[in-house]
Amino acid sequence: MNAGDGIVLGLSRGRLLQQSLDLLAETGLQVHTPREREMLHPTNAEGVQVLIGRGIDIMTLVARGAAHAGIVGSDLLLEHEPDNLHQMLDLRLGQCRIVTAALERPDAGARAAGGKMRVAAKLSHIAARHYSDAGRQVEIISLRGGVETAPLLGLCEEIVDIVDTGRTLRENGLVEQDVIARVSARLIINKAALVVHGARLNPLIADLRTIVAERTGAGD
Amino acid sequence: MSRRWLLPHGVEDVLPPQAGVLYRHSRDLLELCGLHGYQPILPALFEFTESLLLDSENELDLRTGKLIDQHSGRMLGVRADFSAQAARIYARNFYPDAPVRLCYFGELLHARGGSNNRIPLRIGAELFGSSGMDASIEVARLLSECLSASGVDESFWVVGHGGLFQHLARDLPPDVRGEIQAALQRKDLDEMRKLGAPEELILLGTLYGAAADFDRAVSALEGDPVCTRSVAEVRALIDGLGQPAGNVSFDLGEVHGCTYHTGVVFAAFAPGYGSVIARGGRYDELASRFGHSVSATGFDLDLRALLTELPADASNARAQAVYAPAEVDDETIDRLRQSGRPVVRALEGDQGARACGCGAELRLNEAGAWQVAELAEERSGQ
Repeated sequence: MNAGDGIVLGLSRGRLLQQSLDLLAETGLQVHTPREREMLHPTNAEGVQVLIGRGIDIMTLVARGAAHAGIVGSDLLLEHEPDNLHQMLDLRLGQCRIVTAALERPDAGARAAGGKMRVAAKLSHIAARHYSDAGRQVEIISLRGGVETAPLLGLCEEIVDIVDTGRTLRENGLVEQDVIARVSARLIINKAALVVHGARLNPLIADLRTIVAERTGAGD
Repeated sequence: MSRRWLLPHGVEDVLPPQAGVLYRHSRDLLELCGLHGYQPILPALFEFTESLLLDSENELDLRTGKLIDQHSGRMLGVRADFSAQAARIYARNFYPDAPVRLCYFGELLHARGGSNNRIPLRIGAELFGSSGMDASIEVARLLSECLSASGVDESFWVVGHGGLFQHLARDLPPDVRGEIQAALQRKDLDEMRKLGAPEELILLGTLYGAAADFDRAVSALEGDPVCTRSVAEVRALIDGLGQPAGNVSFDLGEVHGCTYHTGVVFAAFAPGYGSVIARGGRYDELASRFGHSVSATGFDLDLRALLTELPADASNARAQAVYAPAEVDDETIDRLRQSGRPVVRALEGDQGARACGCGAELRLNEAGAWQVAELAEERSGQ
């Protein structure tokens, strides 16, 4: 674990970053001029640094205690089910959904011999759990990206993907079927950090809880 | 090439000098427990799964490595936790004597692949036959002594209660209860609401913080006699730990991994460690599986996780070893060994004291007697 007296907050790079920085700014925490090539950034609060990285890395760093807290999408938490961290607060940022989708006009010849349905997914654990819970025997094909093109290429009959507006699905001739989960950014806290650095972390958690409640008009 | 020297994920060897430190330190901790009246036991490495597994502990089931007994055809499990074994040993060998204090040391197997430490090396102590808070305080304070002896200069403690969740969730169906408890453990209140958790359970997820805030926070639980009793027990352990006030907190939604706890539970953390380093608590119903209902409380501590902090005073034994040329007589060597000095006998073809990692060698002095010559001193004089 990061052994210093200070704390490290991890923020996910990408579309969540600016929203996360804005949210922290509302609590009074300003991150000093993030430089692209640097990962660790000072803030206006003494002993608080911000780490910017890929969401999955932020989740791992917090779970292993190298960072004390972080903001990541709940899709990562559902997919990897990390131990050793609290998923303290739904920050209501970056809201989207994980869905199943299939071609609007399926090619009957595309189905694999034997009749077992094939599903392409980046979030393969979530996909496997969804079909298992539904009692459906499927073959999960794990892809790193480009999932929405897989049915057109005849690789699979259905996909599991993260959807915001649904435009990409429509452009690839896909129709949304089941919503597996609603996704949004979560505040995650390393369990040991909450104990050892509770005096620093608890006020931040309380501030974020208040701001989120004010923004959504509903308290926790 | 098969690379047959590679170990499975989460499994590692401990090499010199750390292995020597571990052996010596585990002996020291068992002796420390002995000074408090705890007698060592050596539980079986594996036994029938029906003894090891608990109906309510799905996680323990998944962690337990299993094999078929080729003798009986029954399912065996390699222990993933010591408490059920200690409870069985007490219930079948010591009951109704009370109180009985037992301690142990050994490896567990965590068969589930996710952990980076699948063979925790645990030392622990269990106190059977006493239901009072003094027993819970005794084991927690013994853990505190063990941590200090392990080089953990500053520890942070969290106190909770395993019975509170069980009480407040008593009317929930078992499958929903498990999901709600998992959400509570990660303080995911939104998920608890989605699962239909009653408000008093959701409240538990908000009841954590510094010990100084305890009385104000738990006033929300007033009115229910079971909750009131549980809260009083948590308060008693917070007060009884003997830790600086700033290093103690409470968390009524966290039972730190084991659902068999029925009373006060505690966990210890330390700066520099990203996860819990030791935990324990009261588990009064476990022994009833073995024929007797018995009060029990205890703790265990993972020495492998603490390895970097362990006192390394005697770890340099190899450098202190004395190289004995082949001509040295047995009596001289025995005398040195009895005085505590390691002695390495020369082997045919070896390259001498330094090549054998020794910090000294035996040389004949002018009077014709064998004498220890410290090589380090010789080097500094050059």
